[in-house]
Amino acid sequence: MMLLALVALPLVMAVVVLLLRGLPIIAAPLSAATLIVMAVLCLSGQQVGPLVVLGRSINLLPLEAVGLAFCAMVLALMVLYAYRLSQGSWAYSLTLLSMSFFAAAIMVRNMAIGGLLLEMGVITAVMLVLSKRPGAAMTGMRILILLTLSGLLLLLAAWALESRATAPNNQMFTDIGTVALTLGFSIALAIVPFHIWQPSVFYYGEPLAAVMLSVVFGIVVLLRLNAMFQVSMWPGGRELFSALLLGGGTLTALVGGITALAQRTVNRALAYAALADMGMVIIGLGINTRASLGVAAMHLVYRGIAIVVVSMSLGILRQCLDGDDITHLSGAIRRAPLAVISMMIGGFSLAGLPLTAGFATRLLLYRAFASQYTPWTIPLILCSLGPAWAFTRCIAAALVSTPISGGRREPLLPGLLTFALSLALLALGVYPNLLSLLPKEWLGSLASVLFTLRG
Amino acid sequence: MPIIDRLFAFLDNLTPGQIALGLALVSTLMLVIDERRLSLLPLLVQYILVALMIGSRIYHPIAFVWIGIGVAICLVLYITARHVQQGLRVLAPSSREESPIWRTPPAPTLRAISLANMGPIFRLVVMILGGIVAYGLWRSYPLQGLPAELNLTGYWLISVGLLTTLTSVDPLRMGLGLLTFVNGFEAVYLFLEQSLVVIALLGIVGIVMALGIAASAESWLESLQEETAR
Repeated sequence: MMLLALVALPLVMAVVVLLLRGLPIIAAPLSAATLIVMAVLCLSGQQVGPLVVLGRSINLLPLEAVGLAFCAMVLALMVLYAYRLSQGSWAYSLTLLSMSFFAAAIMVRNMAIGGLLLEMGVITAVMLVLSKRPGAAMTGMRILILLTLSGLLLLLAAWALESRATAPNNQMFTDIGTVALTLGFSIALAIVPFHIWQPSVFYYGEPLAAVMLSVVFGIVVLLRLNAMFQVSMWPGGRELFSALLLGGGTLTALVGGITALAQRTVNRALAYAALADMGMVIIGLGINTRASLGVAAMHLVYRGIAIVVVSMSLGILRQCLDGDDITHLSGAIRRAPLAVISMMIGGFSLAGLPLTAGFATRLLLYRAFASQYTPWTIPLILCSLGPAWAFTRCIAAALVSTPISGGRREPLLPGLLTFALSLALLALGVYPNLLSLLPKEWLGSLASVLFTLRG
Repeated sequence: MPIIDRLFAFLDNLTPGQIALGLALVSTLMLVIDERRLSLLPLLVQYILVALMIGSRIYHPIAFVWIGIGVAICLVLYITARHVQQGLRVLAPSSREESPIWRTPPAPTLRAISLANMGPIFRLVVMILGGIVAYGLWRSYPLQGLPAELNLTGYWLISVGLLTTLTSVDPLRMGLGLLTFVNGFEAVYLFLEQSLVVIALLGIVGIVMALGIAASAESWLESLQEETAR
């Protein structure tokens, strides 16, 4: 029942919230409560056996439960934030609907059905990008096309891998599976050179859309990848994909870092910092040792929190200053102090600077990478300076003292929420053992880290 | 009623080759027709023909379900197409009135549309290019175990859909291209994967996609209206 509730609850509440969309004072807390209940259900520790629905097995493994719970909690925070800084009248319903599809996609063991549910979830999530802003609709449509293409490729890969299980000697299935899986996941995870859709999400989308498509969707895709690798892979397939992940991750981290260097707006700095950081996560998965997989999973969580913090700050800055480029940021510390400080901490955590949460995990990933590919380690570390430089430039502009006349003040509640989250990033950076305060069952799931590409 | 019976009898008697030819014709019409509402008619016929093609090879009732999904998708898009067409008519002067390029509407997006609207001949050339690509792919990489006409139809719809998407400058037309592309993929995929749950989910994906396209087109129109009002 718990498994079905994880899908049915957000689906039903999406309809309720849709009817109440004119009353954000009810719709926002209701949506946040639904997401929190989802997170609690995931982490309640009730391990149930696989359930069979319409002849298909559905199940929630510990790692998937933690991943889904994290996504639900992150979105609950975003929904509460959206109460004061509107993200569009459909935002709450679309968020819940996407989560329902994503939860189903994670739990279904059948690869084709899981792929189709993932596609439905991402189409719903892309609708969050749409707004009256010039260019937003076309961008949304382009992202929809690319992610639909990715979904269809994953569907093709699922068919090829399932067919290969019945005809292991047919090379055609292996070839189709390899190409479709590589292209499908590369587009979905925004691995360079298939990353073109992701910076536009940060530029045109509201913070909720950015978090949904860069954090939540990324985690769901990685969980699907993990499920696919566990169910069906041909001999040598895991090694091939580990090498592809490592190469793609390195390229993404390098390109993201270098491109971030030239950015002069918060949204672009965030977009490329998030891209480079995803590259680090993928490197961890590609190295494919038990330790690197664990660190990559932890880094994914820290990356998610940092993106949430900077996205929230970005939303506040856009509202207060009517823009987020260096010119608009001039003197922002006076008008939006909480947002500027949060942006600094979140941005530095994404860049992996010391005393922030992102530093410890990045350092471990660099060490794991250096032990195998020493010559590439120095360029990789140097490229991480790109995001740090971009955020430093934005912060320097915000700290400049300029006379301010009129304008909007920083909204207090979203500002405090953002600041509290950024303090958590700082606390985790200064004292990583804070994690030991989490309940033992959660830690068990985290520690057992099982992006088991190793098989 | 006799007319409907005769129509069903006619559709039942179509050979796969005739259906493939019909699909090529309607996808050409969809690309060439300028009027957004009218271009939905070829899309509907495309759904009917794909349904007939896959229905005859899987289970006959699937054809009716697929036609129902096609009707639902076209209805969703028709409402949007009507709204967009009317909205654009208000925003931009008709093509007869706006002969010189410097008199095109001031909003940058509207100017881009009028420049990129290359007319039916350009689109016909695009269609021929798509046809050549599809034929080349079919000859070079025929999918094993798939009937030749289904294989060619799949490639045709995928390449034409992709080209429509790439050469369009408004979300609705891009959406029509996307749906054609997905139709081509599904025509092949449903032959390979015949689970009823998968077929049902593919139908739902199509409807969710149509809603996404409609939402994109509506928000595009709203942004144009706002831009022009400034």
